[in-house]
Amino acid sequence: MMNNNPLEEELLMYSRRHFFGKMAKGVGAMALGGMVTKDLFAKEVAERKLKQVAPTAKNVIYLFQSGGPSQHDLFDHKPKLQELNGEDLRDHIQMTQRITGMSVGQSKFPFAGTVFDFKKHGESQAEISELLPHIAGIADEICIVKNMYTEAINHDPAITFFQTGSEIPGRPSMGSWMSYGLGSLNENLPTFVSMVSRGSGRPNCQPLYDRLWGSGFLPTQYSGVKFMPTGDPVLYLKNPEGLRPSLRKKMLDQVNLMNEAKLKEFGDPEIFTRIKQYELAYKMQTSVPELSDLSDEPQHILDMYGPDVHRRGSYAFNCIMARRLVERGVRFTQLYHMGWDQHATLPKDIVGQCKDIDQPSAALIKDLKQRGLLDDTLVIWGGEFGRTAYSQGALTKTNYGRDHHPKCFTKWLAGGGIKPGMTYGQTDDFGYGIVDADGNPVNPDKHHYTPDAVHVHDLQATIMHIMGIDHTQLTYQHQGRDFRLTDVHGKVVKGILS
Amino acid sequence: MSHIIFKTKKVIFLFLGLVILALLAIFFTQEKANKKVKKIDYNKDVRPIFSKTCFHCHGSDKGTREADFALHTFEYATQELKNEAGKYGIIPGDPENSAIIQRIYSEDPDELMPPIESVHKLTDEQKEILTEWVKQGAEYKEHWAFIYPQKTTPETEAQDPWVTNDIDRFIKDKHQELGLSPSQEADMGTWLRRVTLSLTGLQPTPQEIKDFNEALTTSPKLQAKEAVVDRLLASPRYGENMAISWIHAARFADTDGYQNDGHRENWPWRDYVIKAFNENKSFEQFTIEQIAGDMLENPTHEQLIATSFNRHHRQNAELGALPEEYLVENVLDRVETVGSIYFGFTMSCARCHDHKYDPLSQKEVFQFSSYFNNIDEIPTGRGIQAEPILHSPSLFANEENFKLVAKKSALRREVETKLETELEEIRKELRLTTIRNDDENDGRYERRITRLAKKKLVKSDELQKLEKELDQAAKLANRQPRPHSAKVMVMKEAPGIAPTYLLQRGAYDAPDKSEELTRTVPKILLGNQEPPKDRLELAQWIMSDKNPITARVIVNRMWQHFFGTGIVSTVEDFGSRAEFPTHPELLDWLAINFKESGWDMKAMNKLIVLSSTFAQSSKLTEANVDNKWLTRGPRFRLNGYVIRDQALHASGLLYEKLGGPSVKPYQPEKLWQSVAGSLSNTYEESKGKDLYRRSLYTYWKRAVNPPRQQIFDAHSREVTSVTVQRTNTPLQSLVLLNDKTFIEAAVHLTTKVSKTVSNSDEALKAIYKTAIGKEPNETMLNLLKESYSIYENDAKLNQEDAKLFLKGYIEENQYNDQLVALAMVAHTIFNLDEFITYE
Repeated sequence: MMNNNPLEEELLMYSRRHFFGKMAKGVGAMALGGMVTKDLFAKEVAERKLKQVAPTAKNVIYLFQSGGPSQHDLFDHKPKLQELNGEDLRDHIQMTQRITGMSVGQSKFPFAGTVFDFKKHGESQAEISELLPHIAGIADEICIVKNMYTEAINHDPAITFFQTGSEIPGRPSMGSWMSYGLGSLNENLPTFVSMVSRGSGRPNCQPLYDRLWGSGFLPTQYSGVKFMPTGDPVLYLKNPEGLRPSLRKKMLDQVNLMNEAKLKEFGDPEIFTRIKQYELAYKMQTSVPELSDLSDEPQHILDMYGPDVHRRGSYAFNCIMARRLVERGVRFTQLYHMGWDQHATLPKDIVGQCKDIDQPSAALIKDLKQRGLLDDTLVIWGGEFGRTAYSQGALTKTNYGRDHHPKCFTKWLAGGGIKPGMTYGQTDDFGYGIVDADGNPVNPDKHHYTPDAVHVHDLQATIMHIMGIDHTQLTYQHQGRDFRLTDVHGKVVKGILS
Repeated sequence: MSHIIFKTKKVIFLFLGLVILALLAIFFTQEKANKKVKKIDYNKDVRPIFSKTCFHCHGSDKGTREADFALHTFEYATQELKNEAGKYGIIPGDPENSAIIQRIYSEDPDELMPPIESVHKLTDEQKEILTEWVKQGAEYKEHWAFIYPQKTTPETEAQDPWVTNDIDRFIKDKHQELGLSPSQEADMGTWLRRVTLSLTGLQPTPQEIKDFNEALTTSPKLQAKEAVVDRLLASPRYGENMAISWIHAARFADTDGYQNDGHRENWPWRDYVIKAFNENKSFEQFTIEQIAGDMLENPTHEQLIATSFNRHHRQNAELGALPEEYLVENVLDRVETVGSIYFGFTMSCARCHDHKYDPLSQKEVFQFSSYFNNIDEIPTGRGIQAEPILHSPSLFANEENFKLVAKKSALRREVETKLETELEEIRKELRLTTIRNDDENDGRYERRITRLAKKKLVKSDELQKLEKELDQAAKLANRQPRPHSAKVMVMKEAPGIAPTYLLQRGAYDAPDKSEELTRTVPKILLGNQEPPKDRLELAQWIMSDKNPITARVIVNRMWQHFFGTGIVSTVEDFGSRAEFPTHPELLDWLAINFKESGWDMKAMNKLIVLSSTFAQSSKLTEANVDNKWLTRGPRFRLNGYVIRDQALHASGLLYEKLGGPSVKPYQPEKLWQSVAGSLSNTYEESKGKDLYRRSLYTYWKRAVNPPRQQIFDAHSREVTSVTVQRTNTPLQSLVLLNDKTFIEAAVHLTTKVSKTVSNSDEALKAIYKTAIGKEPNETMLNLLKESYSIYENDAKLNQEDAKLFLKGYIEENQYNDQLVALAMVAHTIFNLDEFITYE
């Protein structure tokens, strides 16, 4: 649009002078839009004087499984539950966890052993359910963490806690912190992208909220840009009817001329930024559709992700998009797959839900690996809490449901900086609580760190560590306080690092 | 020739050299002199360093205190060190032997403070400040925000030619002190646009521009300006515009939030706010009604609706949400909102432990919460069922209300003008007879005058007639059929006092039952006063002279509204880590003046916009980029509400109607479905005129905010927020480029203007003037013409596309190439920095 324009050079110099003057005074309003040219961002990031840790990854793909996948039926096999199937939990364990109002009134808490088969896979001999055959196929690439725990027992606070470090809204999401702390790796796309898909497990019930990729009190340019499952991939991306790209370009040239005249008159660097942002918006109008167009993918790659890959808005589509985003230098890609909230008819509903994610998740890992991108990319799979060992509602031979359970659950990680082919941490025979290596129960809470359990803040600290950030150092002053993603907690889980 | 030039040059260089030397000499002597006399002020110079760098480990929170050493009070700091006998943290007057000074300069990594691994470092300048402060005796002061405002007299005289009112005297004092000078006055067109946008959130119309220009030729400038300000303050648009930031601060929304995010109906409260601003309710009354309207004697319906202020918290309707847990969340959300709006600091961060920087204990937070936990509420489930509930229609009665209110305001203005004239006369009379000069500053004197004036007014026939008309207008408004009734969540104090305990680590299930807490306000604000007994007394205390902080906090936010930044730039934080006020004397003066005016919001606004400070040109120079010292006028991006409203206003599509339920303007398809829960994910676009209401009436869903507002930095309204963000992103460009709202408005603006002009040049001028709200300059006009011819040529060659572009906005037979070219120009204008900027 304005390449090699001498005026632009002049404006650039002019504006930079202003801009850096501003930065030095800490005003820093040069909006980089989660999407600014790399050099400017680098400068801004450098201003923050972070004490850097050597990064082991450049990008993150977070495959969030919203609703709380049942660890009992996927990764954390408990033969004991099958053995004691139907017996009341209270006869075996002293119940200490918080339970939701949904099952608090139950007269009986019958153990519900999984109805699914588990087998050991790969050299690592990781135990994985028959529901996830493709993930079982990449057992040696992933690190299964079985000793996760959290505090919240309702979806909204629990997901918000995972993504922002606080159950109460208002804090920046993890991707926003990353954009803020690390800056961009590309010139025509956002730094932080979020995508959502609906699962077959409970298609109509698991909502999400914009705040999960919001920037909280950080400036809005660090928000995740939501890629839509229908309509324009990015809101307002498409030119209006009848406005051909060539006319749009003419119009933008006129807008720029007028804005330049204004800049000359007023000298406000914000006008210069505005001009640059129009340029970037125009670039996005090409780069985003190009990004979402899978026609350049060879058939065998598409086949890897499974048949759903052709359906825009599906988890499979989002997975291949995630890879394409990483290829184009998008720093943080956040997927959400809804529908993991199996309070009732779990054995029936979880089958489809697993099918949604099994093949695409595994394909993503394999695809990244074959392109040499896995070393630079941290992939995380998991939900906001686990599910109970007992059945919510009546237990029958073939049917049970599971309520929310914060005391232990499973996630897996793969890629840059993560030790592949290992299982980390363990839970007791009932899958009720976390135990140490000798099988002794540990009762962790965030105020009393124990190396045998991984708190939400510990996972956050670890993700940041892998990305080269000391989680105690990346702070932002708001309401008189230095906030950070991990609040005043969090320890890097060294045991899962390669 | 060349020789002479050479010589001249040499002389010039020599001369310049001497001048520079002389300047340097002056500079250094001054610098030295400054250093010599500079008195280090604890509040301004030292506390910010301590707060940022030291208090985390050596402050008021015992839980995180290191080495049992604290710096937050003189007593602690000067004690003998616990683990180093014979040594003292600070020895006043003796920096060399003060441990803290030794530590900050230490070369031993084990000794160095802040510790080597800390994220905080001290600059050399900061080290010097601390050293000098200790040397000067290490005098501690109470944090400035907790000391009562003091009225001071500025040095600049009221007669100074630059000064219009007292605000300018304080601003000029600072200019003088720093050797700065103000910018020249902005041209009157720019001023008119600025003042109209700031008070009504819309640009001036061509007619208003014309009227003002005429007034400027027939009356003195100040008088013409004052007439504009009075007109704007009397416009019902004023209340709508001022309500926006209050709504955000009060986290008002149309849904419950949390997972299910169901519909709620607290919108009559929004009517209350708009009405209060328009009627210029005193800020004192405004506050008392919202915090404790239910506890007033025989409260009116409106006063009860006002209390919804404390019920805009989210409400968890997720199956299985525990009532006892969410009762705590709701109550603490009230604490946070009231604290943040009225005290300017966050209380929620002392929910789990004592505050690290401010003297606020965890216990005090729960004591304060006890004012808000006694309403027998239903803490979970849907908002519309969450008793206490009050059914209410809109507080504005009917469709014609906007015009009626406008008429009423105009009448009232007339009455007030008369009153003002009468007042002047009475003043004169009194001055001649009984009152001595030095009594004039006494508030009692003014009150007496007003009483006398009112008595006189009652006698005036003409005014009585006006009053009658006013009454009639009001009656007419009330006779209209009531629209549907909303279920408004309100406060309703229950008998007795609900027992309150400290919740350990802030957890609802860990109350410390060893001590039942009594209600009180944090000591840092209350001092040794008797604590307010209940919510009503609390509201009264907040607005009383006994409260040191609220007036400052409120005028500071008002200042932010007009200038873009507060006098305290951290509007959300007046605690010890707050930015020191740029103009502390002005802040105090405004605070006191606001109180003394009877908390008169319109009067304060008027004072600000008529000042010379506000009237300056906003052109930037290297020296005033951040405009900290107000040496130029404000220039910043408008909020998303105003941006859309301006487009609608320019186009003539804007449907002005006051109050009522929220409406649903255009929004990209399936935006809600992509994310939100199935119980509440159908966005049914409003019909007809309701598509074009002002943006403050746009339905606010918490899970998925209206995208235009979100992209233009609006907060999500889930929790209170008083800060303003102004980013500049490509997503904003995409909205202006491709959102149907702006294209439709561009086409309508064009068809509207085309009816009144005879050629394209006139049309271009009129379009620009209507959209931007001021006349185009020569450069702009040429660019508009150039654009027009480009678009017209394009349309000629691509008529099918051009028709498609206008399709749906005009009848097909209306089409011509000129119209589409003009519409493209209008749309170009909506995309200009100028259109979305307050300057």
